[in-house]
Amino acid sequence: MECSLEQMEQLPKIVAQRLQAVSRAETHPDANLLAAFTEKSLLPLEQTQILEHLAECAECRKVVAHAQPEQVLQQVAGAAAPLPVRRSWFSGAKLRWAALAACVVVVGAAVISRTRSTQNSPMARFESAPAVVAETQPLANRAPTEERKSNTVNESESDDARFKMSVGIKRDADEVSAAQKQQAADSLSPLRAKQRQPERRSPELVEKNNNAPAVTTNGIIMGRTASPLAVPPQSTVTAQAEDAKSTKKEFSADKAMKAPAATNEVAQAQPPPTPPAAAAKSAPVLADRQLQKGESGDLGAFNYNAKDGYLGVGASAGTLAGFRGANPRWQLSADGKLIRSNDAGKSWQTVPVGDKVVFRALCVTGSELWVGGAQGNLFYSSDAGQQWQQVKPTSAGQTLTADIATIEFKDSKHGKVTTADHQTWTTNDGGHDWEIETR
Amino acid sequence: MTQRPQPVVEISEGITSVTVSLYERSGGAKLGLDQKRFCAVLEEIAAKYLPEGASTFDRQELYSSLKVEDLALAHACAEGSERAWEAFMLRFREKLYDIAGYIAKESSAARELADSLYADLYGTTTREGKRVCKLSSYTGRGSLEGWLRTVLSQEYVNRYRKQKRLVSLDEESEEGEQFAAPEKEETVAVDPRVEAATDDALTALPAEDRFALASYYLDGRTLAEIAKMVGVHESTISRKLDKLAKFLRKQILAGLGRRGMDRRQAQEALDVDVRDLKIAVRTRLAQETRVQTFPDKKAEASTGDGV
Repeated sequence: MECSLEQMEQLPKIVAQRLQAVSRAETHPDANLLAAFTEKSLLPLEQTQILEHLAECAECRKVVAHAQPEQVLQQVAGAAAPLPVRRSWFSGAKLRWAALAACVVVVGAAVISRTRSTQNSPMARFESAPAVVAETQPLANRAPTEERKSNTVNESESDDARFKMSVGIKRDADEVSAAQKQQAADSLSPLRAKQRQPERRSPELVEKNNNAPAVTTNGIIMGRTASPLAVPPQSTVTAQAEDAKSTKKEFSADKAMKAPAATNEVAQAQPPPTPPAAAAKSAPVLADRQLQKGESGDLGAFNYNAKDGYLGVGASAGTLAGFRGANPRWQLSADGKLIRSNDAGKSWQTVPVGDKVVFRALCVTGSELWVGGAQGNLFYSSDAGQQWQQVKPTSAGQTLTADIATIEFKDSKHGKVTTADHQTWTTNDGGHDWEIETR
Repeated sequence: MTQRPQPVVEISEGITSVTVSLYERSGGAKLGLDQKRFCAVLEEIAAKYLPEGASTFDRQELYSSLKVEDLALAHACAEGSERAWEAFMLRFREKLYDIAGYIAKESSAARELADSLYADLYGTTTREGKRVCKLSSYTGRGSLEGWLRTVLSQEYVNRYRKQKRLVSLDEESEEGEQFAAPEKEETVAVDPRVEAATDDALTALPAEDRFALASYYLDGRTLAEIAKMVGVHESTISRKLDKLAKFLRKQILAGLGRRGMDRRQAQEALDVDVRDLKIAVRTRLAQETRVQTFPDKKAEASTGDGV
């Protein structure tokens, strides 16, 4: 960029002089056309005519420059840092280099971890450790006798499991389950592990180990490792699958990607996710909103994990949540469209909500968004704008149809909507029930 | 409220159905704007922006591009509807002060700017016995907010220009250079062939390129500001300006070649900066009055006085 700027200064000064000399515009376009030019809503021919004029008229250039919408009024989702600070340090090339460096560090750590695990045979320790020790004692403090036991186990298989565990790669649930259950069973019976031959375990043995007490096995594994490899007991999976079926929960493939890996494990046991289009078509009109918000324990871990994925809070599972849900900025464009920026305000994309609705009010609380506009159009998203539901507040037989002027939500439950004709609609349950107050 | 004369225009059936649907979409009924007045506003807009005898298709295209909700609000306000004013104030009262603050960069000036616009919007002035409301000139080509922003900018630019003319002598001496009267330009004889070649090269450029050049080199706008105005990325503008500088140099040199200069002469003529030349001449004159010589301009510039 600096080099480029230097080169730009090589423009012959006679050019600047002649540019100034051609400023001979006498009639100026009116404010309507200049405003439309600023908003890029002119027809192509008009756009060219205005540009022709602007190229010659310094005053109109000044007006257009001043009339550019400022960024100060934009509403920033979440507790994002102020824009100038973010732009100066985390934008453009710096961000790309930082991402590259982070990748290098992660890959390096994974390689080192794998090398060490191969050299020290840590899986053997893991396998041969008694259950109680595995829960409480760090790996490094194990007795050397346990290491000797490890030499007898199938190293290739155990290393593989260990490596995948260390880098957080999602594995097939059955494979992990079998390996872990085998390890746990071994840990309960060190002698059997010692006697076991290095060749691959027979299916009978795997089957036998799978029949080991599930709670104990999972208790050990989940206590020791990060959640990506944690497999809930079979009974839990089945129960969650049934719960999810019964609740008709909206779920998109995109959502599934963002959920932590533990959620993915559970999702495998559930019916395939509804495609976004189909989900949108069958979206409940808010009467079923309580199901999505997970008020009770009906949806259990499924709902909770899916939500964490969006918030990027539960990024410990090594999912895409940390990247994809990272503080998008929200704003309403001058022509009343909802726009979003995922790169700290450098570029904005229109988010399709409603059909030709002109929005005037926006409220963002965490990953929940409320946006309202003309003729009582009110939309809600609980997942940072991935899916939207139209909300039709009704109270005492009256429906919100007036133009919405403001939306304020203190938290996900308590909020109010004011309209242009001085109605105030309040809710204390996240938009399920509303009360109207007219001034 | 004064009734405006209705334009007598023959309206086709298709247009009537379009205007009816636009009226419904605009919510004009709620704001106290009747359909007849709304249609008249649409006709005025068509008469303003479309050539005479424009087709029904052109008319429909223009109508469909209008921000009809904002249009209805603005004209309902202009008609004096109380409901419309309430809606307007609710939407724009604070926003207008914010925009003024952004433009004026100083709170008292911003307040003054916004208040003066409010007065115009309310229509406190009368012309030929009629109240003049600025909102009636809004045509819905851009959003109402964008229009208000532009009107504020125009007002600010006008005020700035007036104030610049009215700087007192005391202020001038206190502020020094900033408000000093512009120094009279010395007329420097630039080779007319260079001017002609430059003009030719500039005329051949598209409007957008000349706009970018003028904004950057004359107005001193930043790359980010220009990019925002044109609607492209900052780096695109940077690359464009870089390319333009090289292209212009090349074109001017070629033009000078066509006007009878050889390569070396053309290069020298282009590299001589008129402003540096001017300074060099003045300096030279002051230094060498005793010697009574008047050195050649080009030789002067090439000896290192110029950049």
